[in-house]
Amino acid sequence: MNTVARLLAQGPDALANYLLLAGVLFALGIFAMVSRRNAVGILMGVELVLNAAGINFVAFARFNGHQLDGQVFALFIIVLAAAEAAVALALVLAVFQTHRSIELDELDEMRL
Amino acid sequence: MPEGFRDLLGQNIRHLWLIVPEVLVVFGFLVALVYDLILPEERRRTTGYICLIFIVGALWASVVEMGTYVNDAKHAYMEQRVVPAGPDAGAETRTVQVQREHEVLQSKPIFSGMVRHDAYGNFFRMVLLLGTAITLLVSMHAKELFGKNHGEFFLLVTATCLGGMFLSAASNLLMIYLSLEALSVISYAMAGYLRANRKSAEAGMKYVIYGAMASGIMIFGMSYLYGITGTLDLAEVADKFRGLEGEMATKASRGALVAVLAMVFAGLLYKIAAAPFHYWSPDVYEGAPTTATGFFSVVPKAAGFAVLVRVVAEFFPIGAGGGWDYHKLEKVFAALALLTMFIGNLAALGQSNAKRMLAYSSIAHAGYMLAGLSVLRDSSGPAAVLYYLVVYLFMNLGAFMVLVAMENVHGSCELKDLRGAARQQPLLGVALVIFLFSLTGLPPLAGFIGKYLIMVELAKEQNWAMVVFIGLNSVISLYYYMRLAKTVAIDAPTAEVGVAEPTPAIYRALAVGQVVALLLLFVYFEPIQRLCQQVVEPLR
Repeated sequence: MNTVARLLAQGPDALANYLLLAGVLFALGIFAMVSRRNAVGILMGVELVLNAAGINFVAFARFNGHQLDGQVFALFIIVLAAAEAAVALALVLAVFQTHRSIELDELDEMRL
Repeated sequence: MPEGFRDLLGQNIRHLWLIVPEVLVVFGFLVALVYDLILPEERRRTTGYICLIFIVGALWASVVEMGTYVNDAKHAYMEQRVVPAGPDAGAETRTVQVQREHEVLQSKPIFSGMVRHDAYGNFFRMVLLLGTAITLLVSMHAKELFGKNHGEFFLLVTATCLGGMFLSAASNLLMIYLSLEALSVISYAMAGYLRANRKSAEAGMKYVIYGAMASGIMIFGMSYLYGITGTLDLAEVADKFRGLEGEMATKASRGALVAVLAMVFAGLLYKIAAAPFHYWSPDVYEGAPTTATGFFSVVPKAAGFAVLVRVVAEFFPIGAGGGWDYHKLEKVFAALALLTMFIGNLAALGQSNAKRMLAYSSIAHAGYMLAGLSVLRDSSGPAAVLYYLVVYLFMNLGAFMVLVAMENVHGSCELKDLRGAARQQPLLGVALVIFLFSLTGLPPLAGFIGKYLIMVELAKEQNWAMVVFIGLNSVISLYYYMRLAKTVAIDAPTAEVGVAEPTPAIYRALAVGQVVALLLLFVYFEPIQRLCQQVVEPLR
């Protein structure tokens, strides 16, 4: 905990704070992916991970001499996350229409 | 307009001439998209021809480009010239080394360093376009795809190919991410293409969920790479990263660097379905339309290997060592290769569905190729992988094409329904047996040379264990390949299938073409192998 306290002592606008936030988001996202059995729940976890990466990029860009490429990368992450979500939700809908369920455990059309 | 901006614009427009194949594919996609909309529903199959014309055009453009590379390489290697020995030496001659600039072979960054223009990218471009062209021809006659949306399938195939082409040339983290996503997101739609089919919908959803997880983790790793190096350019990232690794004093900070790199590699290994990132692939391959399965097992995998080799070459300069111990990476790849081979082959043994069996077999083949990457002493290990990919393209697409043809007649890929299927389609039956022999790695087929080249590289490293394990795996795979061959060619049919409609002529032509290609790649493997070598060499 000592490290965290030291990081917080640097004031609100320090790189470490943003990294900490992104790290927490990433961990939460991974936790959601692993623990959720519902397809939409897993996709929400993926969104968290992508946003964690986005925060990292923007923070690094800002504290690395106000570079632009990190900011641009974050924009692309947002756009691609939207595209991916659109395709994913369409497929989830198709699965719901054929299986009447989107729980991954209940999708057992194909097994060993 | 500011001066700098105009310069940049002009430069980018000039660079368009260097990516003519990609431009052609984009135009093909757009033309086919509009064409598909104005066509009456029952004639949408012809959209495939539009896509095909542009894909073949792009293929031709990249073959022409490859010709210039080969030409340049030839001159560069013919360095010995005979010249008069001196001003008054008379007829006496001597041989001198003439240094030639590899002007053309040099890898050039284009579009502000987003992609590289080099023979390596062009090689993969050719592989991807060839795979796409074959897939387009096959999907035009695949019954399961028929319907009012048939035209869309060609568009998806074409667009996926475009993503792969950019991926194999990408040299910037942003570009790698963008093209990887372009490749993946469209593949998700292809896997779930038969929306009303329970298996296909399930396959699509599983693909998108696992794929999104993998790309999320990869992008998070990339964000740290950007943070610690302050740039997105792959070469600069790798240089600075290597420099940092030397400075890091504590074990913990070095471990953090390795973890960051591992995240990025996880995303790439996911794409080639290497164990332990292969969980998605059997289900996706079984559920997706058979044409799409054949496509997935070749084109995205080739693109994945393209970017994997490029990233490895940047971070661990092949041969040079560059202060980094590439032996550790060799060990990692060797372990992954063993795991992938064994999981693929052992799981394939018990399958009762031909499609799922070939899905596991394609996992095993990714394992053989990874074994080639476990020799990073010089560029011949990766070159062997490139050769293997070319062979794999023909034999795997061939096997899947025969499956599509048989599914057209029998309506299923279950082994019990395919019994004696060769009686209806004798030519394709024979071709399937040949493809399966090649997949096993038996001479006189190119699959043998593919495995042989990889084993030779391993043997040069005295890595006898890997050589033995590859041999062992070939023996295991012989069992299930021959089981499929026996089912199709020897077993008596269970139910009498009525008079089957004739096999589309294009399938027969493709089968013959691919068998001939496999034989030619066996007999004349040397020029192709040399080409692979020349292509990999400029990657530092």
